[in-house]
Amino acid sequence: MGRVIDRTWARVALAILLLHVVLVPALYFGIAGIVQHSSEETFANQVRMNARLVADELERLPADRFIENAMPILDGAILSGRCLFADIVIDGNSRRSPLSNSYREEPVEDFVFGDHGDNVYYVSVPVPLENTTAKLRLGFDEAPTLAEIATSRQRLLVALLVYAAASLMVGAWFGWSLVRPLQALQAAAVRVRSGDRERSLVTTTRLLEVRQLATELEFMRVELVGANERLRQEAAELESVQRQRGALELQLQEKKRLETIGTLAGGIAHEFNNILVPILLYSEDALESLSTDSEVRHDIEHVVKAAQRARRLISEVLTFSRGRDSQRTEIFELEPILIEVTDFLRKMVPPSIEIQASAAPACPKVRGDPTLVHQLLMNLCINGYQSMRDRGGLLQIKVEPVEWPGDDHVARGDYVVLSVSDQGHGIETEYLGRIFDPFFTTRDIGDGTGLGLSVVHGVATSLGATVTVESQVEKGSVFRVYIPVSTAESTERVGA
Amino acid sequence: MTKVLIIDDEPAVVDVLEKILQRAGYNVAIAKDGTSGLKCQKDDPADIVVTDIMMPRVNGVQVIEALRREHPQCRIIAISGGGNFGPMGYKSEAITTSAYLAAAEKAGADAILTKPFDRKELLDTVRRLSPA
Repeated sequence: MGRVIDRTWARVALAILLLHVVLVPALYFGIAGIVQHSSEETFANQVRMNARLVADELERLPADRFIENAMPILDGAILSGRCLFADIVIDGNSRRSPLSNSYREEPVEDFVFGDHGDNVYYVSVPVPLENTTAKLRLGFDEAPTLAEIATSRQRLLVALLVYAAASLMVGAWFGWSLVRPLQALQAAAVRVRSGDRERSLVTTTRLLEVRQLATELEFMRVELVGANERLRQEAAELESVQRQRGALELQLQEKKRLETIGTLAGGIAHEFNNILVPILLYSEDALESLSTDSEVRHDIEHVVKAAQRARRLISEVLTFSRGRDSQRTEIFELEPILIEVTDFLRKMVPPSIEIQASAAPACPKVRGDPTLVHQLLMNLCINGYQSMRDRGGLLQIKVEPVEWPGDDHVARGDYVVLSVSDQGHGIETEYLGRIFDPFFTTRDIGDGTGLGLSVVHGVATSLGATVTVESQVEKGSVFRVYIPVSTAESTERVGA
Repeated sequence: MTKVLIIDDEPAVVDVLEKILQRAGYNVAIAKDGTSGLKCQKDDPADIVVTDIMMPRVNGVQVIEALRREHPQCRIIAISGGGNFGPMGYKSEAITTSAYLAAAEKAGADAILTKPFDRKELLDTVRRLSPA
């Protein structure tokens, strides 16, 4: 586009130049011809008029003393500066003024102006006398008129050259005035095309059409910027929705997976409990009937202990699966649970593990089963304690309100966040997706049932809460439970 | 002698409850499901009915409701094995343990025992509900 405009500009300049190459000589020769012709005519008329005046004076002279009286008149014509030469021919005899300065000895004919090489214009006028006719001959100087014509030509040439230069300058200025805003528009269009759509396209040119064109393009740019912004926002919203959707699908899959596990575990627990009833009751009944020194009493006691251990294990499994349908609902504060659990932990953990617990003042209440929340917190703390058991460290427990803006894991809303952080071994990334699975554990066999975090998840589900975990290997983990704030202040029981 | 009716579809549970309660001096009757349990109670009313919650066809809650309606004087102990699923054939949304326990309590059960309970727990509860 730039090359086209440049070519157009060059064409305009070339056209103006060619026009003046033709126009200036034509004007020059035309006007110069007119000036020369006019000057010659003026000169000739003056010459004839002067000659006529001299002839008139000569006609009034008396015939008897014509020659004597004619000479002073001829001298006067020369002395007046009008003539260079003056004589009078009577009967073939020439009587010349002694002041004559003739270039020709015998001028006999009139000359055409400027065409005889001596710059003297000769004119002859008949002078009637009584019995004859005399001829008055005068020679006028052409040089001043020729000089005047030359000067006029020079001035004309200068004027035409000035005109041509001015025309070229005006043409160049006009062309530049036209091209410059177009080039600015073109540069702006290139900027817009290359992505810089913020700068205005409005120009300051005085050309109305270009100004209007720029205004229309500016409207288009503004529309383009607006459309781009809308597209960008829509794309960002779409991306956000897709990301949230992906996260929700993952959460849903995780929830369904754990629900399936919970359902399976609940079913198995039900059957196990039915099996445990006769084991436990028969064993206890047998112990009742056995004497204290019976040999099998010790064995039966082992059976009872094993059954009781199985009962506790199944109780945890049921908490994991039953947390989802807990029927006990109260509105309560978390701080008393925090204090209770912390007091218990301080008695249980070794001195190498420091416990810091804090609850924000005036923390909102939450809705759920407080005994389950107690178990949730206890399990998280025990989990943290066990990860630091061989190395010591700080176990931090916090309860604080959070106005959460929402992200891929936790929806926007007001929460009470229960967080437990430890400085233990941390959890490897590959295991993070499985830590809530029942019986999943990275610890040694016999060191925990692998149900602690499953119970946490089950309880959190019953609270409508979300559990997140951040962990760095060899640095520690932070578990956060986002429990929705309850707005109702009354305590109620459902299904009681 | 206080008479106790045990209603449970799990034979092993029925057997052990029968044995322990008999040894504790109670007169024990047995029914394998809700329908036969209600028939037994109608034919020969017991002082205390120990009924499982999760049973096929007529479940424990329905048994308790019927007992409360027809035998308001009898004392009822509801027992449940926990878990989200009962025996096959139950609608999953209707058999969650906690929902059943809450429903049993609401229907009029005097006590609730969660399996696996121990001997002392069982006998203490039965003793507490026995007529003076």
